[in-house]
Amino acid sequence: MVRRQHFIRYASLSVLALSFLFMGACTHVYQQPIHNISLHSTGDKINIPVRLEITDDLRNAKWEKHYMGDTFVMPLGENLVHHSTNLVRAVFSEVAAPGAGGEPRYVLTPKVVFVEQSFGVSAFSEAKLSIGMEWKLAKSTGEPVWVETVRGEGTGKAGNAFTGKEKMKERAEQALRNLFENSQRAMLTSNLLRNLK
Amino acid sequence: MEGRKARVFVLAVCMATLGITSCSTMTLKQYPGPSPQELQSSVSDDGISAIAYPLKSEEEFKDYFGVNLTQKGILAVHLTVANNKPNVSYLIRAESIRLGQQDVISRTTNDPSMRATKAANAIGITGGVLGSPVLIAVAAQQLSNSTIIKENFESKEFRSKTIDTGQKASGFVYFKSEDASKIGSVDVCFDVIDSINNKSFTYCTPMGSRR
Repeated sequence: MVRRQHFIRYASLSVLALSFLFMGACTHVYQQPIHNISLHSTGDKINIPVRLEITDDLRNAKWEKHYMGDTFVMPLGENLVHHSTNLVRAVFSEVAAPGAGGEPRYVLTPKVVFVEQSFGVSAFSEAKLSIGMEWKLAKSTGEPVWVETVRGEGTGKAGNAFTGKEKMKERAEQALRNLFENSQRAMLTSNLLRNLK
Repeated sequence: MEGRKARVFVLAVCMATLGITSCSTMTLKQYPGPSPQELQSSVSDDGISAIAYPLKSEEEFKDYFGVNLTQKGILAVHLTVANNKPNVSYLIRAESIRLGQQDVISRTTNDPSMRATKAANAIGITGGVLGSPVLIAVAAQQLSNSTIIKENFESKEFRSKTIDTGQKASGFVYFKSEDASKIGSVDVCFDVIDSINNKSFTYCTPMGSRR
């Protein structure tokens, strides 16, 4: 009789646990504010007329992970668009405003090529967010002139159920800062961009 | 009393497993590319030198990728391209990298060159698998490994780049293994664009083996 009661109790608990598993298909969104990244504006800008091309792919860029029926999403598009706009103004001397008349000689198109996040085994292990972005400068005819793929990384402890969100926000801020600083450096040190007319 | 012993035993196993697995987060190494001497040994008239090494040994796969790619149908070739020509910049488009001299446009729909995401999906890198409560720690280890392997795949891929004089570009290119059955006798080819002088050409280098 006691054994039967134990069996019923454990069976009920197992069914309850399994039901949580199958019913818990949630989407967790880690919203990111516009992180404050200051790009140093040097006096030695690149003297070519350029227009920044913002695509829907860039606006919708995000990190996404599916795990045990749940979806974890971190939107990045807003930050990428904001900082791409600032970057172009910091690097190039002539930047055409969106919708302005006439087509500048060159078009700069940023594209996210990967967003990956790795986690250690526990909350105390290191996690790393990597963002890869391709910058393509093409003539107004579409012919590519210069391409560079830049990577930004943000690392830190993964965090637990209470601190995980804040930790992810810190990693995102670090990765974005790293990405745009590296992008600026790649453009300003490019011999080809310096020699373009 | 018996139930209590069983619970204590399960708890002890969980703690031990968690303790063991939490000490063993996977770490993968950076691939040491060719030496400057190796790169200088084969410079073309256009100033380009390139070296391609396919990964073959179990030890290499374990060190650099954490998984045996050949067993999963993927050939990973490390490619380094250097520009030795003064006052010229060359654009290397990653999409143009292929095996043999086959023209990119005439490639079949079975694209032999796979992007890192496709390669990672092809070898079945997914999230951890939940088993019984005792195996949750093992599942955490599996999930951690899968995220590290996938991030490593993407980070190591050869990406499009414009290389100025004295610079180089390097990374891994992933091919479907069945398309490279003759490892060692196939060239790795890619398109080179000199946008300032309006020149473009194809450069090929034979797949070598590390000494």
